[in-house]
Amino acid sequence: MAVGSMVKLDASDGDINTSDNLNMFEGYQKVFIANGANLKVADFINTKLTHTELTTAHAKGDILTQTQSEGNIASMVVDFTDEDSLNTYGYAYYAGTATAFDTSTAITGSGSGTGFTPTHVTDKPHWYDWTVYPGGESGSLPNKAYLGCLYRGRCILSGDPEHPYQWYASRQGNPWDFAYVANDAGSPVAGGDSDAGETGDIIRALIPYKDDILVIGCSTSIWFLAGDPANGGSLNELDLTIGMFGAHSWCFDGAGNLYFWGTNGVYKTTLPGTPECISELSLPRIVRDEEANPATHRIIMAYDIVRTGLLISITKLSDGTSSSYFYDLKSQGFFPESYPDECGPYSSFFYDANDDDYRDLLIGCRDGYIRKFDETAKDDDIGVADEAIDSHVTFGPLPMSNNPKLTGKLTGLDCVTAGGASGGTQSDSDDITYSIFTGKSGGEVIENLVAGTNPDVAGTIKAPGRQRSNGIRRKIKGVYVGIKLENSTASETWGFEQLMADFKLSGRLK
Amino acid sequence: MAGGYLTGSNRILDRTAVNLYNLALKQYLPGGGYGAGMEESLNQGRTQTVAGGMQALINSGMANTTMPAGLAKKYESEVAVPERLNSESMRAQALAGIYSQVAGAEVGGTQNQTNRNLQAELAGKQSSSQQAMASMRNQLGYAQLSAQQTASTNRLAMDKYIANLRASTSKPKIDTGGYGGGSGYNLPSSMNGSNSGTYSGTTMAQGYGPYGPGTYKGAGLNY
Repeated sequence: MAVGSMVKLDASDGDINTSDNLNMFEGYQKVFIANGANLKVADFINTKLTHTELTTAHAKGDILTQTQSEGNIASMVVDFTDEDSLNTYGYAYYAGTATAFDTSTAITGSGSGTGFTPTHVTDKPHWYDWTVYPGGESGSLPNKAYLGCLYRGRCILSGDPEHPYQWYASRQGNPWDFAYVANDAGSPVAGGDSDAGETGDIIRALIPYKDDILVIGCSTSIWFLAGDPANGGSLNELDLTIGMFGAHSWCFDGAGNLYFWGTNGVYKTTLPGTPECISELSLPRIVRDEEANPATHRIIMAYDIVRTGLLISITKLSDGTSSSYFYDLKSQGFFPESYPDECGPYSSFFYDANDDDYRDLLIGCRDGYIRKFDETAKDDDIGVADEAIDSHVTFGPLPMSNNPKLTGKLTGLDCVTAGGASGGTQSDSDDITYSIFTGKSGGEVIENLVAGTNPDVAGTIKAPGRQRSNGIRRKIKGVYVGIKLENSTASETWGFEQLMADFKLSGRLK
Repeated sequence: MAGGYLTGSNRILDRTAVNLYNLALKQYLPGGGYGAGMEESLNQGRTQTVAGGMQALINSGMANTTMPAGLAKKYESEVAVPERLNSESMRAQALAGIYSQVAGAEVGGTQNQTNRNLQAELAGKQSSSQQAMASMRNQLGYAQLSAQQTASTNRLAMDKYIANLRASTSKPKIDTGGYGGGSGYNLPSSMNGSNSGTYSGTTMAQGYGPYGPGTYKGAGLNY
């Protein structure tokens, strides 16, 4: 593994609509793209032979042979022929001194396909339309599809605006065959996610779990297909009261638990199992606060193996404004985050490289950059410039006395910042700004913390480590207190080990 | 299905037989009674299989998929088509059997007619032969009777001659000898006056003796 450069598939330029919903999945060393009416294939395995229109296309699996001279033979296992029968794609292999197909020797096939002499030979990768196999016996693809995945060797499509409750499964091992009711174990199958006779719920996500279970996340319910639809599989309800937000609002952790953004927050479930809302206690209003709408927002969820947590990002597609949470699997706590609009996450992928240096969670951002989290960086990268990270943590509201009828007095506050002494092996914290708010009730303190204005006292905590000047001696009186620590200075980062506060009973509340 | 009803006026079989065979053919030819029950049975089987399959698909949650559409098709391919092929095979066998019987009957009819003509001819010839044989028997009988009568006459004449001879000669001797009976009549090779003389007759059936048939024994007579 080494640093490389991204290469554009030229033929794909202008062939997809990036302002529309787009999903892609990997299978058979290809990438299948579901972008509404733009159903495409990026092919990274086949060789393409261009020729005049064939009367009869060579069937998938046929062997093409080009005997260039005695013992020197170019061969191909046919994988696909485009709908005009002008291009044949397949896996090429050679014998003798042959190293490629030429454009002067006739090719014959092992089946009933028409022989030809190629006019062009093109090496991988390729970009072409995803169609069924020509010949009229392979059914048809839906007119539009926005969802797709690979499950049990079948290419599954859904998100069809004409039939939003429908999913379509290709023949096993053949992405080009959608001729349903073939009556064999690998037969293509189409179906809905509902009980017998019902129309079914709008499908929003296809989530394959190994080759065992396909979760079908719908608007107001969740179903799962266990096993193969044409070979004894079953379609079951995972939950009939919880819906799923979208195509990317889910992820698995390392233990096989499924997390998803659902009707009332963030859920966790086993498969099969019963979904449990893990944000219910700490973020009971998260869905209403975020006001995410599937038509205008995208929610992505990703399991960050390096940091052992989940990244949950809610991004407004139109301008990239985002709201994110890091759910720490160790502490089971939610940590809210926000990124510059340029960094609004549209997609995520954990790149599990062999080399640790390249193994990380990648974030596809609104501005077209693919970013990753960098613990050494002190600013956010917004492309042409950097942007200071505005970060804070709040404590409270805390009672200032052990009797809420009485007032208390904050007599001292001390903070030990991260980094130990200056220099050394530990990363040093930069200075921290503090603000202290008091109130007669907890709600008043919260309001003040959120507003961030008119603190009772504010100042700077020097870093790193423990410094004598950091002691806050000013006495502050109240029933409840809230403390906010923050830093929004460019090229700075901060952390602390310990925050110590001293209180004394003051007197009756007046 | 090749073949059809028996037609034509040049049948060996008479009209009744043709009608009977056509009745049998009507059962097996397309549109006949054969196979109608099977189709009804297949229809019932299809209904039951599809219903059972649909129940299973509902149980597995797969009812709202394209799988139910395959139930009837699956029944057709796995049950109905093999059943129909088997039925057609049996129909072909049955028709072949009937046509074979018709062919056999027609060939048999041809042979019978030939046999009848031959038998009539043989019967005529047999009658002539019998008449000829009867005539021959009569002729033979007459000849035999005539010969026996001649022999008897000769015997009587010989007895008379011997008696005369005895009367004229003392102690005449005649040794053993005899007549053989039967169809052959061997006269003594010599009849002389010597002491010994032999009639060696072959062992024949009884002939006519002087006192009627059987009175002369082939073993000879001793005097």
